[in-house]
Amino acid sequence: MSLQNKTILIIEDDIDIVMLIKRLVESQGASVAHAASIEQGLNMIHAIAPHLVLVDLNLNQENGLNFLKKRMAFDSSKKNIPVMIITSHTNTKLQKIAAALGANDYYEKPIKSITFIPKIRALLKEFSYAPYYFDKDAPHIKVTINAELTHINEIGCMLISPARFGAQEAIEIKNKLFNELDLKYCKIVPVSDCGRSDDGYYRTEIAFVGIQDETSKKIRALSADKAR
Amino acid sequence: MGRDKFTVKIDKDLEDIIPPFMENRKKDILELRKAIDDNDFATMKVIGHKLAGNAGSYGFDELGTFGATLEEASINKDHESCKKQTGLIEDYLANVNIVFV
Repeated sequence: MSLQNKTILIIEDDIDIVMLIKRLVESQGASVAHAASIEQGLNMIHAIAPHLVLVDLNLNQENGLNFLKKRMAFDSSKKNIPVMIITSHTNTKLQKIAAALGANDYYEKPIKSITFIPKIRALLKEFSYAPYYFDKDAPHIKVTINAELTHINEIGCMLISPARFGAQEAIEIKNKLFNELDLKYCKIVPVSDCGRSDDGYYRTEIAFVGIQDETSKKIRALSADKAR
Repeated sequence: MGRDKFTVKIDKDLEDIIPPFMENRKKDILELRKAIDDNDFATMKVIGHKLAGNAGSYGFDELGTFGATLEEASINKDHESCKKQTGLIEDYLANVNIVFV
């Protein structure tokens, strides 16, 4: 497991330890963020969503265990960020308490590159998931976009949406009329991008491919209603 | 006191972060001296604990041991022992010769 592109948050008040950890993990390609207190650390977790958090058990006026207690209140996505406790104490009772409070690992100082880096690698490996590819792993999943229509016929329509469509993108249009016409079962293909308007929305010309007879009839009925 | 000069081998990758580390230790000594004069065991404990953790991490294992002993002595409010450990730390820093390998 490479540390490339991983962000590690260190909650530690000893600047010498911060410098050392920075040196060790940055040499492996990771980047480091530093918080000197639990409160600052909690804020940074929300702001940068690091891949791993390292917390010193003995912060200046605070106990690193408090970080673990406060972390329990996180939403599940943040709670899944692994936490490794760093301490100078050889205390199995403390280790047990830390584990009970959700610490994923425990490291006793002195920090030695030969043992420290493999521990970090192992934690990151355990907590990283394989990429989820929509086209291979879930071809049925599409991006759903809220869009308005300017006009429609049996061939296609013009969409106004907050997002720009790329050609052949697997998108699903969320629009009341689209649903009523059962157009969600028809393949929609962006054919021209009219660009972004002053209102900030994109206008895209869409073609319907494989439109069903029933849907065509419904669209013609709309025109007939209008003529009447 | 009066320890002879001695050599400690430190990882070459840490070469540029050793000067600030040593600078911080000089500040520790000043704080420790004041804490001993003031019977300030809380400050001695903090510095001892910090040294116990960081010195060994940088490769100064013996300095880390002095830090750990200082921490314990300050918890026991053993002024003589704290003074002795501070002397050992001071002596260590004055005579260490660092070689980067």
